[in-house]
Amino acid sequence: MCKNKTEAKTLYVRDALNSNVKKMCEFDSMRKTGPLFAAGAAAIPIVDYSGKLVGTLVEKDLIQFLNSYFENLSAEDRGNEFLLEQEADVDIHFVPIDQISRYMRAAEGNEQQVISVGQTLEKAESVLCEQNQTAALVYDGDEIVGSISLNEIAFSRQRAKAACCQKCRSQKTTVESYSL
Amino acid sequence: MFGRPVSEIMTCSVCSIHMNERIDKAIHLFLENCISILPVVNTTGCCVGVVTLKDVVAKEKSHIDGHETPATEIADILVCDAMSSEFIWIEPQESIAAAAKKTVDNSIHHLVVMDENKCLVGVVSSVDILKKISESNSDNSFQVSDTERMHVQK
Repeated sequence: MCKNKTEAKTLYVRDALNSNVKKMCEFDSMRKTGPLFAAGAAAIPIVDYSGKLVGTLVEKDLIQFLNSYFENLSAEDRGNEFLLEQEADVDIHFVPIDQISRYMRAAEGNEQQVISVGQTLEKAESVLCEQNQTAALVYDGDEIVGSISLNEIAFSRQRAKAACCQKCRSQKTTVESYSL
Repeated sequence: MFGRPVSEIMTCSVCSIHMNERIDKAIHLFLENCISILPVVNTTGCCVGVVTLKDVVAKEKSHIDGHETPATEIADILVCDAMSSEFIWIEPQESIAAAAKKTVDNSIHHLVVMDENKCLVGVVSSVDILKKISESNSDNSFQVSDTERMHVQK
């Protein structure tokens, strides 16, 4: 392991970018997100029928879905106690428990700082921490080009360190062979 | 379906690390396998903790910030010094629903699966549970039973 404690090379968001990004519709089922998360997606852009971005879904949101899903399964066992009685002056909307729109972080009214490809990893990390997020979408101008997560930032740093150590070792070997 | 055992959905071929290995070996395993969590085992194969990428980063950060003794290089830190010995686990015969409950209650993405001898037998993740839900064939009953009524005043 390299003894350098400070990294000479500045790392940017593009160095840790996960470009494996696929949009999903807000009315889709959470069940469909499984393969995307399993394939390593950190954040999924959620769009409406017109293709407009309406939110973001991150792996952390799966926990909330699992909670609702299993709570409702047990409610079903108890005889659908969770279903409320219809009232005369109340309009009832049925929203499937697995609909993505229930679990995503809505884009509208959310003036969070955007992460762009040109930012440093330190900046992206501080934005994620400020927003209490583990992952977020990455923009190049107005276009979504991928996602980034705290794990990917850590991976990227460790890879850079490993490459630095490799370089140091090979330089050391060259010097030693010259001195021989 | 969710009464089925966890062993049906868990990943059996799990990458693990010995507690007396150095932390750079853990980093190597994280990078090589693109994983963020490693179960830590002792010489008898019992799982004694977990080490995450987050633990390693935190350990490195405290080292760089000078909270650790300067004489200790990051590479010399042992896994047992960076791991969390308090971790959530489940037995392979426990139900998928129980695994989901533990995942939700503790807000975690991975559960270590250990047998009655505390030997590591696998790992189950929130995505594994989601996959099982996706495979559910009870779509019709799902639509009825899992529909929530949202009341909106006119």
